[in-house]
Formats: sequence, structure tokens, C-alpha cells
Amino acid sequence: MITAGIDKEVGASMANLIPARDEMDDRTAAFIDHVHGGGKVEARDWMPDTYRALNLKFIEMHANSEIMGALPEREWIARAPSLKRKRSLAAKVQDEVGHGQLIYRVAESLGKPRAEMYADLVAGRGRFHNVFHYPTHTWGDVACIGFLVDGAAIVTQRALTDTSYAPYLRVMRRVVAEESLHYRHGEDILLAMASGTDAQVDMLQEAVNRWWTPILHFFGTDVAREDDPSIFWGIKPRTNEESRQEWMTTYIPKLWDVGISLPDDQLAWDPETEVWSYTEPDWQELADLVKGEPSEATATRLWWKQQLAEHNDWIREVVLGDEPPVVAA
Amino acid sequence: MFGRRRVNDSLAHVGRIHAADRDTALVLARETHFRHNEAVDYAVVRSDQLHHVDDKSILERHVDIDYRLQAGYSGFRDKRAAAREAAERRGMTDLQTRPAPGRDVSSEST
Amino acid sequence: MTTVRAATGLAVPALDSPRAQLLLVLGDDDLVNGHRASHWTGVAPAIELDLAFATIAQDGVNHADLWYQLIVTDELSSDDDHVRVAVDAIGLGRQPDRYRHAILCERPPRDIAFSLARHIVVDHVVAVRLSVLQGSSDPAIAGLATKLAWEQRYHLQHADHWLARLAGAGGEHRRRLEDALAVVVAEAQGLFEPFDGEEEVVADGLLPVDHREIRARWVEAMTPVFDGLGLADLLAIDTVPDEASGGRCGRHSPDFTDDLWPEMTALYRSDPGASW
Repeated sequence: MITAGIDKEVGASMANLIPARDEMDDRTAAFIDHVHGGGKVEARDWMPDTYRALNLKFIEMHANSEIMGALPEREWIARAPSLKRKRSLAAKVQDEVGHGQLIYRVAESLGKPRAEMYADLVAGRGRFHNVFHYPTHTWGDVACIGFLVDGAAIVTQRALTDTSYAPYLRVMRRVVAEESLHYRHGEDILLAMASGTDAQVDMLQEAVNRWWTPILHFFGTDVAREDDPSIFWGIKPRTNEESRQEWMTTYIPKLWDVGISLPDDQLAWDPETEVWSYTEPDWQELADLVKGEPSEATATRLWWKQQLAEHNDWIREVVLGDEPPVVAA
Repeated sequence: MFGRRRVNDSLAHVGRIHAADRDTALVLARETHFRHNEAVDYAVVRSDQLHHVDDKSILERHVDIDYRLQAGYSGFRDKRAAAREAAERRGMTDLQTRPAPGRDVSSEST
Repeated sequence: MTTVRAATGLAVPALDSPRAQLLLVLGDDDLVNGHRASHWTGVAPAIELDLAFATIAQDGVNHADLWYQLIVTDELSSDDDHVRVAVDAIGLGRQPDRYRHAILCERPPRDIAFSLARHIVVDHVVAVRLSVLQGSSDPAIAGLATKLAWEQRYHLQHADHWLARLAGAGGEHRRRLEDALAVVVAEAQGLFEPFDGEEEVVADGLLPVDHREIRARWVEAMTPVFDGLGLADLLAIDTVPDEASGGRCGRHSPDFTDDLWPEMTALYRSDPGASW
């Protein structure tokens, strides 16, 4: 569903990830020129190790996020308040799992078998986006994931339809098309709650308050274009802040329109500069969440995945057979 | 034979080719299928390695699955107006400064 | 349409007629199966299997919805608010003892062998029942049964594939499937218990044959399949264990009353008049 940035993770070794021109061999320099000129890269093309590694990390995290992203919403399929919502939510979560299937295939094309990525994820070694580390307390959280988180996903994924790695780009085109259905699903739930009883509106407002900081976090820290390795290597075309601003422009007025406020008294649009200002979230909180000990929700979800894997993985070989060879996507 | 019309496109079936082996097929494909600049990339699979679904009617749907499609969600103009009215009834009518309309980049705006 | 006014002020259709009871049997089996299938979403042992179970889950809820619609209207796929309200009241607004599904359907997913075994057995029963219902004297029921029988083909294709694969794999795979099937086929006999009003709907031709005959046809359909896989003994099972009996009369296990029913209805029941 998602993809933001590698952001701070690579901060320590950023110098190595953005080599100066005179540090590159000719082949790498030509590759960079190709990518910076809008050229695309296929799985079987030669690529620098750094490009392969950064892309794999980015895409694997994206695929993991689709799978882990299914879990917070999955808990509400059976709880959904009407038969219509049950089947819609089931279909939407199914699409997320399906996106995981597509995106893992792209990651595989960079050299890491899906079985290995799956094993890493279940064991708690796989990274995934911050927004999927949180619990879902009420149906209001389902509205927020459907409208705000998926909205953020659309912003970042649409940008990825211009990534340099062609197999990823092609899959993103398909994923973005399905995400716009998810966006409608999310807005539909949001509007129903916002038009509902006082209790429903309160439930929605409380959930928006909970999701505000996670969504600001989702886009990553404000890394300058020239300092972002993902941009240098042509993995993503836009900075984290550009994506965050675009999301704010699209989604904040929609919330205001239906009488939902946002829990930041510094939040404002400056018509002169055309920039949103907002209170800087605590970035340490994000680092702790994504890289530290798993949150309670994540620990529980991983525990379940581990239990289920232990009792059911015997069937994997029948379903999947021998892992297919890694080939072009 | 499969060809990719533009770099952003997936491989799509373009036709068949008779050839003794893979390398011959790849050599002959260029002027058999792609002589009018139809593709930026192509690939070949032996036809006996292509397995069709036995009964393609399994793809037909006899029950509405609109809920899986955009068509399943409609009437947003009315729904937004209703939510706006509900907000006004709650006194949530502050019009804060916001970007001009038209900057909406979401795919869905009707 | 006869309606009674519920405590919430919502019009809930009367459900006591034999026809309504038949539709509840059909809808509730689907609804409860669908909910239990949905528990695999996001956690199935392989992504491709996850996607298959998610469709089985959606079909369950969707088909239940259609059966419930026939209780309140002859016009299917209606988006009318009053139909949606009534369908949700039927699907989510009843007390546990008013649900008519077989107890097998409410069992938790347990492991993938149990879930696949239940899928294999129940979906074949449903297919036989749908083929019977295509001859219903009620045109709306016959029409819907024809549509759903078509949809059921995918369920059978998927079920039969795993049945053959696991039974044919031998070793641990076969043993796990056999163990699960032994439990499931016994509890599945609860699917063939008569419901209140069955005699009347059979007499009226709404349900062309009774559940005893549906069982016979199911055995007939499954015999070549199970025989071919060396599983013929399963079809000799004809008694339902006490703990899996009575679903058709509204007697349910704690798997439903304390687990699935609260989960699937709590938010709806928190404000049955609310629009979500």
C-alpha cells in the first residue's frame, strides 16, 4: 500500500550512499546519468550494488507493509457494522495482501527470495511502515486507515509510478489504480461517520487525533533533495516533505469540510508561500517505533503470525512448490 | 512472443513464431513482430509451456461484485454535502485558510 | 411484507414463516462460514491461499446478504436504504438462538487442515443444496440458487484441488487432512438436520426435497471423489456428535455465543439505527 523514504536510517552512512562524481567508476557514472535523465532499469540490466541494495530494502519494506498493513484492518472485517461494510473491508484488505504478492515479486527480481523475506518478517526482522505498528481501537480507526493512511499511500505510490526501476513502476501503476478504489472506500466510511450520531462523530474525531502524528511521521523526516539517497539513485522522485505537503493539501480541507479538526494549533496554510506549517512531530518516537522494540500491537500480531506459521507452514510446500527461480518481473 | 510497447507497460502477447530453438526465435522475432517499432523489449516462451485455464467460464460472475470496484462507491457529492450540513449543525463552520480548489490531487473528486 | 417493530424502532421483518426459516438456514450457513473464512485474511500460510480464503469469506457474506434480501424483497441487489436496514437487522440484529446455521460453520478456523476440510465438505453440501433449490417453486429462490450455483463452481474447484493435492501427497499432509475430515464430516451431519418449518417448505415445493434427501445426494456426489482418494470410509459417518447438533433449532456452541456472535454483531448492536 505504502512507500515513503529510507530517510534517517541511512543517515549515518549517507556519504557512502551518495558518491561524488569522481568516486564513481565509468559504468556507475553512466548508470547515474541514465537514471537522472529519466531512463529506466530492468531486472536483468547491470546495476550498481548500492542501487540494488537500496531498491531491495525499499521495495521489501513496501511489500512487508502491505502484509502487516492488512492486520490492523483485518481485525475489523468480522466486527464491521453492516454486511455491506464487512464485504467491502474484506475486499479492500484482500487487495492489500494482493499488493504484497505483486511487490514481493518485484523485490525478488532484485535477488532475495520471497520465502526469505517472509521468514524475516515473521521472525520480526523485517521492517515495515510506522502506521502499521498501531492498534485499531474503534471503527474510527478503520475510517482513518481507509481515508488518511491510504490517502498518504496514494500520494507516495503515485510518485513511484515514475521510479527508475521499471518492474516496480509497472506494478505501482496497477497498485495505484486499486488504491483509488480504497480511497473511495475510506471516504465513504468517513462521510457516513461524520454525518452520523454524536457518538459516531466523537469516535471519528478521537481516531483522527490518534492518527495525526503517525501520518506526519509516515512521510519521513524532511531530508533535502540532494541529501536523500533514494532520490539520488532514482528510486523515488520526490522529497518526503513534498509528499507530506501534497497530502496535507488534499486531505486536510476534506476533514475540515466535515467538521473534523486536527490536533495541532500550529497547523496553517500560508497562501503567500503555498506551504503548510505544522508542529514538528517527535522524530525519536518514529525511530523508536520502527527500529526499537516492537510496539505492543506489533508484538501481538507477530506472535500470532509466528504461532500460525508454526502450525500451518507444512502446507506451504504444497501451495508454493519449490521457490521459483529469481527472474525478471 | 511477448512484447513491451513502452517501458512502462507490462509484457503482452503479440503473436507466435516458428523457430527451431530459443535463440532462433529471438533473432527472427524482430522483423516478424516488431518491425514497425511496436516494442522496446520482447521475450519468447515455448508454446507448450503456456497452460490455459481448462474452462475460462470460471471467470464469469453471475453475482454483483461492485463492492470490489469503483462503481460500488457513488453519490459522493450528496454524501459530502450531508456531512457538511451535519458539521454546520454541530457548529463546526469555521472556514480556515486553505489551498484554492483545484489543487486536489486525489484521484477521486466527484 | 409483514414486519414487527423491534425495540429500537426499526422495522425488522418477521422471521417465523417457514419460508423465512428456510432463507435463514441458507443465509446463516453462508454468513457464519464467511466470517470464519475471513479470519485467515492477512495470516494464511501463503499469500495466494490468503487471497483465495478472502474471496470465500466475501462470497459467504455476500451470498448471505442475497438470501436475506429475499426475506424482505423480491428485487435483488437493491441498494434501497430500507432493504439495507432490514438485511442488517436480519444478519446482525438477532440473538444467538435465532441463528439457524449448523454448528460446524461456527467452529473457529483452528488450523489450515481443518479450515480446508470444512471448506471441502461444506461447499459440496452447499452445491448440492443449490442444485436442489434451482427447482424451487418460489421463482425468486430458484433464480438466486441458479446464480449462486454458478458462483459455487469456483468454491468447488478450489476445494477439490486441495482435497486431491493433500490426499495425494501422502505422509503428514494426508494424515492432517484425514484427521480434519474425520472431525468435519461427523459435525457436517448437523447440516442435514431439519429446521422448524422444513416439512412445510418441502410440501410447498420451496425446498424440493428435504435434508435427508439432500444428504443422500451429497453422499452420491462425494462417493466417486472420496473413493478415488481412498477416503470412502468417511461417507459411512451418519451421526452427528451431540455437541455439533441443534444449530438448525438455534442451539449453538460457545464458539458462536461467546466468540463469533459478539464479534460480528457488537458494533452493529451498539446502535442498531445508526448508519455506518
